[in-house]
Amino acid sequence: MDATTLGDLRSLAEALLIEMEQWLEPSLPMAVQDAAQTVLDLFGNPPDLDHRAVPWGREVLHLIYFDYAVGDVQLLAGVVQPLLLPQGIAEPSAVVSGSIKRMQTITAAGQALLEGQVLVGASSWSDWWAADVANPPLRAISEPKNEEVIHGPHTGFIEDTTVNLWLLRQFVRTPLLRVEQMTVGGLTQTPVTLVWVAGISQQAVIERLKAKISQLDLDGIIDSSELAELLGGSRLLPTFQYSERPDQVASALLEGRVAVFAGSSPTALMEPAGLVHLMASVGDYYQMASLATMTRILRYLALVLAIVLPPLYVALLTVNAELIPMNLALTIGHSRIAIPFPVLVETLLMMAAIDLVQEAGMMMPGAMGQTVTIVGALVVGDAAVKAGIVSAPTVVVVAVAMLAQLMLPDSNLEGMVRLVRYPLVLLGSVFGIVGVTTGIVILIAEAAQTMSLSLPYLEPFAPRGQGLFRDTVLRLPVTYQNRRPSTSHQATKR
Amino acid sequence: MSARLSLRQLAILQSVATVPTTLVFLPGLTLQKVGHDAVWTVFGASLLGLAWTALIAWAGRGKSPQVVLADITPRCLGRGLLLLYGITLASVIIAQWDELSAFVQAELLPATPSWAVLALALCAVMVCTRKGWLGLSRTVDIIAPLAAVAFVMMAAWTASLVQGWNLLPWLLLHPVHDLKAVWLPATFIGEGFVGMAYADFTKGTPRQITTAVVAGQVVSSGVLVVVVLLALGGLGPVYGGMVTYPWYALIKELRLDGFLTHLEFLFGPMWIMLLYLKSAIWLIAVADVGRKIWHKSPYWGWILATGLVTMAFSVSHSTDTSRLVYLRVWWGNREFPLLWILAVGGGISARWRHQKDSQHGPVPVESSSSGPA
Repeated sequence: MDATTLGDLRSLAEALLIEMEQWLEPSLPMAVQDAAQTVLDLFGNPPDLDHRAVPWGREVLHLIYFDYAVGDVQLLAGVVQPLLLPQGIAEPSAVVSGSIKRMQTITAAGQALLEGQVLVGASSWSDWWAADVANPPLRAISEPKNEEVIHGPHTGFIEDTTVNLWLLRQFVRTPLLRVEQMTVGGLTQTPVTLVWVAGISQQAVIERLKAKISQLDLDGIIDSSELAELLGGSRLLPTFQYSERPDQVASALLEGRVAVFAGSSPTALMEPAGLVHLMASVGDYYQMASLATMTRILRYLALVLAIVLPPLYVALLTVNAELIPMNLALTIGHSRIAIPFPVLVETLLMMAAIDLVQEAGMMMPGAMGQTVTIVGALVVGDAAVKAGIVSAPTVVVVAVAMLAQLMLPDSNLEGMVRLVRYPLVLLGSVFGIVGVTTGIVILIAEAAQTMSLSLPYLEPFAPRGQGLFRDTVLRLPVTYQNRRPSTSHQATKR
Repeated sequence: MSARLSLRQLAILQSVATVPTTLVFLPGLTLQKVGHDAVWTVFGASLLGLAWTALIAWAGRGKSPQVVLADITPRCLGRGLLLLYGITLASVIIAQWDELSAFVQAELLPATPSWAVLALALCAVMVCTRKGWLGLSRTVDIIAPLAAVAFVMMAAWTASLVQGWNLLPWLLLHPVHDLKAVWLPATFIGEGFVGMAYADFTKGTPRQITTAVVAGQVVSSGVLVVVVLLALGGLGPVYGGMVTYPWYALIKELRLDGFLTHLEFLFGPMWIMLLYLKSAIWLIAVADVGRKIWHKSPYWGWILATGLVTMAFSVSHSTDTSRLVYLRVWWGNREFPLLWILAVGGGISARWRHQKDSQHGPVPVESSSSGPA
């Protein structure tokens, strides 16, 4: 047996031992020095886990905590100084100002350390204690870069659920705001927080969400987007809405939807989410209703164009050329005379090039990404036309489809649009407009039959719901939006 | 029952169950046969179709809304007749595949074999039927309004091509001949109701359900009358009788502002979508019957098997002549009357039993199936 195998076996045995200890929940050793060593051994004596032994009269005060998770000032002022002043106290809870809990098992002590608490022990005490002096490094509250608005609040969630909940409470100042925390992941122990407004949200939706989360059996999750995938739904259509904006999440809560925070993710999931939710941008509510309506109509038109334009172009030029008006057919034909590729190859090439440029732009940081996208698209498009690889009409069609797709406010919806275009283009190239029509029927049928928890994905279009035109394709003035949507407990007056 | 449709959804489903045929197939058939008297003929066919609707509604009132036809038939007519009912329902799907492949091959994909067109259609129909009536009705909720808008636009544009003298004189010149021609369009107008007669998966009282179905039927009949009027007025009785799809031919004539031509580009996709939905309606109806006969059989299996078998039948008679023979001889003269007798007979029998049962106390009723388990 070689050293690598032995090392693997040792790691496995250690992991198994920790699992067993978590299950058996053994008590901390009585001797304070032994207990401290047990806790350090639990984590494998990592360099970021500090163990301080402070002389305290005739004995020694033991402090164990993770560096950077605990604030020095809070530790000194909240724990060390109060304990050092009155010597010989029986329990630290009498003098420590903040939250402090008794720790009896190794598992609980380990969990407290991971939550940023400090473990305090002394030989004269019967137990160890965990004091909450956590002050992990957090970034400042700022507006999310992907969801900026001209008017309206400029705050965004950060990587701390407590702060995020506080931000949310600034918008929904009611005791009816309910918060429930669950834990997901055997290893990561990720806190998953459900937020809803009692009396507005449907209890069935909350229970179903809770049941789904409690059934998750996995090592762990890192981000809320993983949770969205794990909670199921359609594999083609996005059935969750993401936001880093507290105002948007607050609006969703007032519609009776449920917000889910996972771990240290600044992104909240909003459930249920239908197409109308994904097509609405938070900025729509911060501008005049007439302008917002125009934007919405453009956005729905963009959704249709982004999906249909390239496939129809290929279908018409490949199979159903007789359906193109004569003048237009002549113009397109003239520009395609010198192109060596068939329309299908030409369009697929251009679509792939545009997608590559877009992905490259996303990978590059900040302004450089924008530059890459703009320069890439311009240079690639222009060079391809000049080189005679693709025709100008093809570039126009693919570029318009790309612009239309970028108008969609939800990134998952945008991705879905990009994805479905490829099979539709292939269908169009073989079966012409019959193929494109078939693809669209399949897409509509799939969307119509998809559910996001208990909400039909295309409601209020299918099935027809209340307020069909109040806040969907149109955005009527707030005075007309006097009834809650169907996602709420009952369609009562706001 | 797991599925629950609204009355509005039922009315739209009912309309979609017949409209595709009234848009493309029936106007040509009627104009070919009776020429100038086509308007009278379609009026007569509509009235006859509505009369059948009323009769079947009356017959089905005894049990509905507790059960669907597939439920009452085993008790009232026996399992063998239920099988016959299922087979007859499936035969309607053959006619629909015929319509689809004939139209698509004639107008949009002349070089594509009909089996390829039908295989593509079957894929779409399978997705539409995935979640039974409820899923299908939601798909219809999206597509039907778009189709309605397209229809109104087309009707308005083609109305500009109508020439008054083509419509005059409106005289019933050959009454006996015209009455004979009423039969086939009437069977198509009435076919939707036969399949949906005991539309028991809908929320509402029997009277409301009947009203919704009749409303859907009236829309289909109205569409047929408008299309025949437009085709006759635009093309005239002679030329209109020579083309297979007269309204489509009229749409091809449209020139808007000198540039916007080929507006059949809008009509073709709209019609194909509606025909897919129509086929989906009938496939679910057959699957319901199949699962009533063999309780543990899979819903998907019925949809796929029925789709493939009917597709094979349709491909086997792929010439226009054989399709017409199938429609006139098999469908018009044999299968539709049989289907109608089964539906009305089952309804009357159920009504009679219901009255008898209500005198002697309630009798347990089998639960209906209305989609995938």
